[in-house]
Amino acid sequence: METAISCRIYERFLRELEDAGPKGRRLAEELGRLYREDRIRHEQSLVDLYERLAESEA
Amino acid sequence: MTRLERLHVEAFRGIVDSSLPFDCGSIVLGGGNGTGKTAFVDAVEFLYTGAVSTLEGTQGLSLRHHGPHIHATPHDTHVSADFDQPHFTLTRRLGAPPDVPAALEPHLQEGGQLSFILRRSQLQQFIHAKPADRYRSMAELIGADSLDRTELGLKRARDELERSMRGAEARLLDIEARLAALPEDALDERELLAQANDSLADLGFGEQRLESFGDLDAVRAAILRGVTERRPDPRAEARARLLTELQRGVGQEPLRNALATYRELTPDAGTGANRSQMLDLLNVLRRGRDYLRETETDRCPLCQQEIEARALLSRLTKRVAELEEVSLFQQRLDRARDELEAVVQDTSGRIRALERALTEAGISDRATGALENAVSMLRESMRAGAPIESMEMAGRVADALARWETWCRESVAALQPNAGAEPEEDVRTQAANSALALLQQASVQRAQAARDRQERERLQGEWNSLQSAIAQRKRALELAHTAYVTFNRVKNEEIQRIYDDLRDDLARFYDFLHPGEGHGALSIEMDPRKRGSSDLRMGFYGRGEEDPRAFGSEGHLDSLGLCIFLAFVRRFNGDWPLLVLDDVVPSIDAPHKQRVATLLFQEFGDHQLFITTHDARWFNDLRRAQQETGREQETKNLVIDSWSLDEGPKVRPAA
Repeated sequence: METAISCRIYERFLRELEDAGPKGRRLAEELGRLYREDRIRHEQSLVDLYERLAESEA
Repeated sequence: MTRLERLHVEAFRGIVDSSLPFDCGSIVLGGGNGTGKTAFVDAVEFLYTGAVSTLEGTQGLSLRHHGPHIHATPHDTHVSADFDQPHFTLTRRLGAPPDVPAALEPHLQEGGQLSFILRRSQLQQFIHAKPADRYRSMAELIGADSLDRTELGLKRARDELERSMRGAEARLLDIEARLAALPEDALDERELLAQANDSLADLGFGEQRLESFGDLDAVRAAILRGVTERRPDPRAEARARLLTELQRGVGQEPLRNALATYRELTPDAGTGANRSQMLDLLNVLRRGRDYLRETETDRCPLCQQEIEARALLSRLTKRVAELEEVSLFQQRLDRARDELEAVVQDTSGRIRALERALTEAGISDRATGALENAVSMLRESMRAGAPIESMEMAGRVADALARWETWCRESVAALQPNAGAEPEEDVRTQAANSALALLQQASVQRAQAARDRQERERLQGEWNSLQSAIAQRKRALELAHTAYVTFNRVKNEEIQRIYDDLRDDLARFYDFLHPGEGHGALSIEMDPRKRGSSDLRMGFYGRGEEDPRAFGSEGHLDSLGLCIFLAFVRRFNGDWPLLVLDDVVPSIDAPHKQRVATLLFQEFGDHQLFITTHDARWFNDLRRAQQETGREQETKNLVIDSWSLDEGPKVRPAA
């Protein structure tokens, strides 16, 4: 269950990632998408996401 | 602001069919233990969240099985509420989302996100918990448990990537070790072929050459053919035949014996004429002797003169005996000569065969020629009937034979293979076997070299892939680490900020409940070193930063927990109206309960309070507090008289 507090924390988390530069912005976008799809707690979804981003960086 | 007008509960927990008339105000609900007060609290929670927290997280408990009344099915169970502003009725059933009017949706969503229900069990858990458990209790109040699950997911994803990268690095080291173990300078096919051809030549198979490893079978077959089909070697065969002839000899023993017999007899033999005359005489004398014996006459048959027959016969017999001796010797001599002639004949034949063998073997020698000359001369002299000459020749033959025998022994020794050396055929077979083994070894070396090459290529390929994969995983790990560390920091900072924000309200509420009781500053601290850990600190008579459990009574600790919750509500629930307290003060003494009642209506009188208690005295305290704070008009004080399984709680207004 998301609360106003948890929503605020997610927002700040994603904003701080965004502010960290292009890599962070891309990471924030993708993590935000997982959050909206309620998959941000899913370990394998996260691993897949990081690997995909790392591959696109190569 | 949307307010609750009426709560209606059917077939839920211990309630069969009951309603609570909030009328947009507060309700204080009194009743003994087990009369269904908490079931109404559960119904409010179910209405807003679709869940009942006391039925979650404990094995064997579930809303589906324990939410419905014991005589009802999940289908019968429902909780509904009438609201004002907007005026709507909301009904929630088990296992199905409610049909929420759009106008009511924000209110319901907010209710699902806020913490507005406090149960005594939560107070106990919070105060007496370890820091991590207390954090979880706090997280429940904040609604931050989902943050923890997210943080855990981010951490596990990072750890998984790190494990994966460490595994890949270990595999990389393993591959490097295996590459180092492979021969650095594995020969290529061309080098292997050259080596094999050199070795074949060394073994005497220079005519067999491997142009490629495709020739292996053909070369192997050619070598085998060379062993099984022995090629003619005229020189070797001639030498073999010579050796056979030499070992067979020229009949030297019979020749030597015949020569010895002949030479033994010959000196005693007279001339051939003498021997003939003696035989003629012998025949005459024999006939005379026989005549005298047969006729027994005493007269000479020739002259008819009287003779001394007896004496004559005696002389004749003696002389015949002497002459017969000579005759016998002559016979022996003749036999010896005949035998010698026969032996010489045979020897001549053998010498000719030996001469041919010598010529074929390309060997010339004097001993055989000399022997042959001596034998020829012997034969001539014997044919000529010249005993003296032949005896001389026999002596020369014996000498020549002795020299020939010496030469023959030496030649046989020279022609025979050395005792330690193997026969030529064996040597060739051995060489062929070595060549075949060499080919097999070359084939194995080639296969091994090919395998080594393939393994090197495969490992090198895997190494390259792993290098690339590790580089990618490092980038992924950096992202995962950044996400986790950022989330952990943001969450801790935000929660600490919440704690800091709570501090003033917490202190004010606690001061109100416990005036002049020696406590100092209150705080809740996040432990940055730990994930999800909260420490509770409180000063006490000059000692700061102590764990409240060190000095607080159970009642003090319960009221501290209540103050924390109320501070939360004050800080985070904004104008959300509902505040539910389920039997939260049983351990607090009467004076402090009065203060709690006052605090609630003084600080939260503008809320829709729903307070349950089994304590009749505190029930009255709450009524008094309503009057003191002017909230009696908007608060209903209800009591549950009794509860039964079939009828549920009987609720009535308090007298």
